[in-house]
This record gives sequence, structure tokens and C-alpha cells, in this order.
Amino acid sequence: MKTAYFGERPVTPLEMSMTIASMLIGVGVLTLPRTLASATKSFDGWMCIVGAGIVAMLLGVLVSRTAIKAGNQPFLDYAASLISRPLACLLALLQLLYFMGFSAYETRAIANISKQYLFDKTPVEYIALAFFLVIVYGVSGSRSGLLRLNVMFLPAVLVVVCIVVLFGYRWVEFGNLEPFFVTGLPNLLKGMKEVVFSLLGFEIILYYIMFMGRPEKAPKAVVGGIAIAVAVDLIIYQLAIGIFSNVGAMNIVYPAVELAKEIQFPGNFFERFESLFFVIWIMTIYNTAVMGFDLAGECMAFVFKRMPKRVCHLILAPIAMIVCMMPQNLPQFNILGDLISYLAISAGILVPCGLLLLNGRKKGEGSREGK
Amino acid sequence: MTEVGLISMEHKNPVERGPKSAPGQSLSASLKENVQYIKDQLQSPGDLLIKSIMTAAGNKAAVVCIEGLVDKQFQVQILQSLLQEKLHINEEADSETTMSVAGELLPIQDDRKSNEWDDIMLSILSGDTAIFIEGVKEALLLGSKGWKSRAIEEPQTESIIRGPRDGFTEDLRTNTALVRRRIKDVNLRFESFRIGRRARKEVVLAYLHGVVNPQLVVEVKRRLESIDIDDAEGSGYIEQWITDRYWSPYPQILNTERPDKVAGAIMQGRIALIVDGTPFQLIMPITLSSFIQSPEDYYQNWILSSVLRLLRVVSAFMALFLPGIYIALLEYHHGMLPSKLAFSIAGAREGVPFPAVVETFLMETTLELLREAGIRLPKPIGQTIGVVGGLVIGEAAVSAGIVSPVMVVVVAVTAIASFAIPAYGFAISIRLLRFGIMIAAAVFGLYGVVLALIVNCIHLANLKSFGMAYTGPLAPLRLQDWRDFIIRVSVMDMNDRPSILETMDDVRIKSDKQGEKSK
Repeated sequence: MKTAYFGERPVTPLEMSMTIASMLIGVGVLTLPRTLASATKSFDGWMCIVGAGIVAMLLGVLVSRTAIKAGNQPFLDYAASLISRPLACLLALLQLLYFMGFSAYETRAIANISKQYLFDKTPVEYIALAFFLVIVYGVSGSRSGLLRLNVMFLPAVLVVVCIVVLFGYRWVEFGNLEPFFVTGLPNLLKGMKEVVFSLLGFEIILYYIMFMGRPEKAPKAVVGGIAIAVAVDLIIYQLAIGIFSNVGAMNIVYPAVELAKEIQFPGNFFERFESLFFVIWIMTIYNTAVMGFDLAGECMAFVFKRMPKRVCHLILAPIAMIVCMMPQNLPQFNILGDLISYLAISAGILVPCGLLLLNGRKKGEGSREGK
Repeated sequence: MTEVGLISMEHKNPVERGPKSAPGQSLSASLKENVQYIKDQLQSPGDLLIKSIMTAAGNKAAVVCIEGLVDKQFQVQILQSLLQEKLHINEEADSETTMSVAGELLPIQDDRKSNEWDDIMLSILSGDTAIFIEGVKEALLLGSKGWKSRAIEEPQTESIIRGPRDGFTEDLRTNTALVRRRIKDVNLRFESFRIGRRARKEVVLAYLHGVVNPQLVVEVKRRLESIDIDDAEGSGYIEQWITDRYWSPYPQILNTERPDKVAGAIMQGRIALIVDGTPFQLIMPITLSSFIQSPEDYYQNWILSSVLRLLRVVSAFMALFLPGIYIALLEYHHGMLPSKLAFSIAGAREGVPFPAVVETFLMETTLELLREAGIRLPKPIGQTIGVVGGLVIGEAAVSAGIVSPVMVVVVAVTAIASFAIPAYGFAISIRLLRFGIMIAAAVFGLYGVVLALIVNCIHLANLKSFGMAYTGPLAPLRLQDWRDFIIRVSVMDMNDRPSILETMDDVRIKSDKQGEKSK
């Protein structure tokens, strides 16, 4: 006889993997072939992707271990119990900045790319505003709803990637991929840095682990999610280099979208696939941005205990919009991206790992005192 | 305060507005008083029949019923039995024994005694016959319900090719029988509720005990009991009252005219509400996938059904997005069309004075008008107006140069696609949302369409039907439930009940240790 239970089941590891994957697959992939091509020679960027993937997975395992240690309490409460509340507030503020900046960055990227591929006349501000309003609507619902949204959208994105691969292979010239192993180590490391930046975002496990039925599976889920993202990165990078060659990819702003442009369907029943490709890609970028914004609200609610989450989001929304509109041109926009990535590494990865160490130490002391 | 103020005060109390009889009031021993009480309560309407008789045992008695709600045949039998010598067994019978003897001897199965006026009045008004006997503080209530009702016919709104042709009627007992006839399990439970302070409509909660999740039953009962209204008209009132989110355009409770659909849902571990006075019964909880599933899917080969379901999914998407995409492509992204098609569309649109947005809104609104008019008109004319109106207006609009022929094609395909969705309630929601997507497309092109899609998906992801995620088994991912989602696997492979329903007994097909199916 089963026990009566009805309602929402906790999130399974597979669903968590899909969530992590949709967090990681965002704007980064669209520009990744360009940044990699400018850092490395010929097709050597694959080593960067694989290397960065391994680094990200290691970090992911560490971060998710911290998340497991937190147990049932929210991560920030756990941090407060370790490093006192004021310090935890500081951490929360840093993460708030990171998450808010992250969603603002993604929004701006959407607006930029839409401007380039979908509209010629509509101002960037309006495109970004429409997107951001949808984000605000998204965070006003339940968080488990957001997790379900990931599960709904990720398959669509993967299908689009498959279509690109299926119809794009006709144009791949394998000569473009040669010669192998010609890039020096410093350049490889530089490329790896770029890939790691695009793979940031798995820190969300710190907050979303609470939804998992079996939190001990979190490291596996995170590694799975990163693996999906790395696979997508590799496929797109390989295609981009194969079709455009290294030099070509270096000079295209959004090589992944241009890839879709190259595609022609038999019978020509559909042209300019890149618009459709990008439109579908908007869904995964939306997932990335909305989760970022959701967590920004969460961090703010931790700092200001009295404030309901919805109010936090409404306060944050205009600020995020201003951040989003700050960069005047592409270089400034890239600087914003780098800033956010550094913030992510410090606040999202290093601090939690530090907490893990601290926790181990405290526990050691505690057990010694106990004896 | 003035007198008027006092009166209005009185009316604020809901109890005052309820039935006049005080609750719990019981019968008096005097027959005359009892008969007078009924007459007072009902104000002696024309359909109230009160027959005073002298029973064979020599007691004064009165037989009370409402004309039109009782079976005439029964009525004659009751009177005969009361007057006949059968009751003569005991010459010195006092009233009390006469009453019990009457109960035993009357040729009616459904009899009970009551001494509460509330109960008695409700029974009389529901079609029972009450017998009062001088000196007895109880009334004998005989189930003599029998009225003119519609015969069982083929469902009007959900017709299928292969499958049973019977549909629910307005009569509750017929409907419960239709369900009971399909499920002969002893565990099939029918729990009755009275809903509506004045109308006291009977609602039957039907579920399979031991399969359905008990917490779900508790929750449905809780919501049913929260209904406080004078009359819950049809099943629509109840549906809207107990639904999770009444702001949502999506129905979170399925209504159906088909007993096989209800029986199938009960067997899966869902709950059905059978409401008196309407052929539309409710099924809950449901997911989005319930709307693309038709009972026919289970009667046909699984490959065919799977393909048909896929077709319905495509048609749902088309009904929702096609006009929006038309607007987006024509207004913003001409480049996405193949050049030949773009030229032919541009050629066809030459001379059309409106932009694509106006054109689409014009035609879609006309179509909705036609559809609405088709429902209101008498049936034979209604169908003609659908066909003729559509064709004639479409043709005339094209030749008058108001719209382009391509537009007519788009509108027609959209309309046909929305008819392919088995659930009417869902098709209406899609019709409504289509206009929203058209506006989004008009403002932002394809970008707007995808933002509208995202908003829609967020709404769906947050939606729940009685605590069950609405987007399952897609979005709490339940791979085992995909056997009966868009693809329906063969009957032998549908081993388990949907896991998302959290049933107490998952197993539909028992398999032995070798994995061979025993049945």
C-alpha cells in the first residue's frame, strides 16, 4: 500500500540537469566561436572548451557540495550561520549584483541581436523593455514554475541545434579544421577563460537545490547540465570553424546565428533560418535571464528581511533596466560582460567553496571539542 | 432608524433569506396540522397533490406529492395498496404499526421514514411521495421519482467515429447509471452532495476507491463544500467555483458529454462530478494533454491514434499562432519567405488597402462572428450559414479587394485547425489567445510572437489543476507517462496509471515474474 501523497513532487536530478543546462546555454554560445577563434589558431579551441568544461565541472561539484551541506535551509541562511549575518549580507549583496547584472546583460544581448537580425527600426530600448517586462512577469509566478519552464524550453533549443547540425554539415570544409595543435599554451588558457565565462551560472544550484527530492544527487545533476552545455558549445564551435574557417569566425559578431543563416532547406520552402533560430534561442536566453533575476530578488529578500519578494523584484527591475542600457557600444557591452563574469567567479564560486572549507574546519573543531 | 432600514438589515442575514422552515423542526401528531403546514409552506401551488384517504386499517391518512415529478403508475399502486385489504391484517392496528406495515407492504423498494420537515419537504420537491397518518409523528417517504426526460442520444459536442454513441442526459440517475454500467467494480463510489441553498441541486462525486488518491478526494470535497450560492446552474457554476485559478483562460477542469470519457477518467484515478440537470459532467484533475486526447484514441490502432494526436498538437499550435505569424512575416520579416512565395503574396496583396494587421483582424473577427451566428441560428440554417457565409464572404471580400486571397486561406486553415481540437472549452481559449498573439505580432513581429509564447508558457507552468502541475507529463518530466501523452503506445504496453495522478494502485496490467503479461 502506498502512502497517500498528492501535489508537487520534488525536482528529479534529470530536471535539475536540464535547469542547469538552460542556465548555461545563453548568449555566451552565440559569440563563443568568435572569442575562441580570436584567442586560438585553427580548430584548437576545442581543447579550450573541453578543458574549461572539466574545470567548470570540478567547480560545479564543489559548489553543489556546499549546497548539500546547507541542507534544508536556504543557502544564505546557512552562510549566515557560518560567517555571521553581516558578512552573509555582504555576500548576498555581491550575489545580488551578479545575478541582476547577469539578467541585465542577457537582456541587452537579446536587444542587440534582435536589432541586428529581426528589426531595423525599432529602438533597442523598447526591445529590451518588452523582454524585461516578460521577465518580471516570469518571476512573479512560482519558482517551481520557472523550473518547469526550463524543462519545457530546453528540448526545443536542442532540436534547433540538431537542425542546424543536420542541414549545416553540407557546408563544412574539413580543411578549415586543420592543422591541429598549433596554439600555444598562453593562448589556450586565454581561450579557456572565455569558455569558463560562458559556462558560469551553475551557482544557481546553491539556491535551487531546495527543490530537489534527493539533494545528494546534486553534483551529478550539475555535471550533467554542464556536459549538455559543453556539448552544445563544441558542436556550434566545430560547425562555425568548419564553415567559416578561423579567420571568418573571428570577424563575425554572432557566428552561431550566422551559421543558421547558411542553412538552406531542400526545396527552399523556408529562407533566412537564422531569424527562426534566434527566435527559438530567445527562449533559452529568457530562461537564463529570468532565473538570474529571480535569484537577485531572493538575495535582496535576504538582506531586507521584511520586504516581500515581489516588492524586491519591482525595486530591482528599474535598476536592472538602467544597467542594461548603460553600455553605449559593443566594447562597453563586452566590458560589462567581463565584470559580471569576475563577479560570478568571486561571489558565486570562490566564496561558496571557501564556505565549504570553513564548514569542514568548523566541523573538525566541533568534533574535537565534543571529544 | 426608519422601518426601511430595519428591513434591509434583516435581509443581510443569509439564513433569513434561506428556506422559510426553521431547520430541525419536526412533525406534529395531527394529520390536519401537517397537511396545513405543507400547504402553508408551498402556498398551495397548482402542482401540489394532496389526497386524503381512509386506510383499510381505519386510519386517516394523506398522500402528498408534486404532479409531474412522480410516476403516475406508482401513484395508483400506492393508493391501491393503502386502500386494499392487504393492510387489513391487524384489525386493531394503531397508527404506528400501520405506518410500519405500510412501509413493508407497499410495492416500492425505496422507502424510508422521517420526522424532519426539512428532509420531508426536500423529498417531496425532489419527486418523492410522502404519506402522513393521523397520530403518527413520522412521514413515510416513498421514492416515486419519475418524470419526462430526454432519451439517451449521441453527444452533440463530441462526436467520434468509432466508439459508443450514448451521451449523458439531464437526468442524474440516468447519468450515474451510464457510468455504473461501464464500471462494475464494487469500489466505484458515488457520494452525493446537495449544492445551492435554494435549488438544492444534487451533485454526485464519482471515483474509484482504492485507486484514486484520498487526498485528492478530500480536496475536491472541501472545495465542493465551500460552494455557497443560491443555485449552482449547470456544471459551469461548480466548475468555476472550484477551479484553481479563475483568472486563467485555460480550463482546469474538463467537461464532457461522453460517459466513456468519464468512465475512462475514473479508471485512471481521476474524479468525476456528475451534476443534476446538465449533460456536461466534470472531470478533474486534468493536464494540458487531456485536451488533445479523444476517447477514440483508445478504440483505434495505437499508431493511427498517435499520429492523430500529433496532428491535434500541430493544429492547436496552428490555431494559436498562424494569424500571428502571418502578420509577423508580412509586416516585419518578408525576407523569411521564399522569394517566389513572397512575390506571389505581394502580387495578391496589391490593391488591398490595409496593412496585414488590419486585414487579419478584420477577417478573424468576421470568422468569429460567423461562428457565433452559426450557433444561435436553428440547426439546419446554422450549418448553411457556416459554409455559405464563410465561402461567400471570403470570396466577396477578395473580389472587392478588401482582403487578399492568402488571408482567406490563413483564416480558413486557422478555423479548421481549431475545430480539430477535441475539447471545445480549450478551443475557445485558443480562439481568445489568438487575438493576443496577433497583437503581439503586430507590435514586435516574430519577437513579439515568441515573447507571447513565453508568457503563455509561464502561465501554463504556474497553472495547477487541483494541485497537479498542468503541464505534466512534459514539465514535471515523467517519462513513464509519455506512453499515453502525445504518442499512445499499444494497449499491452500501457502498464501503469498516470504517475502524475499519484494513484494508490498504479498497476493496470499485471505482469508475472517472467515479464509476460498474464492478460
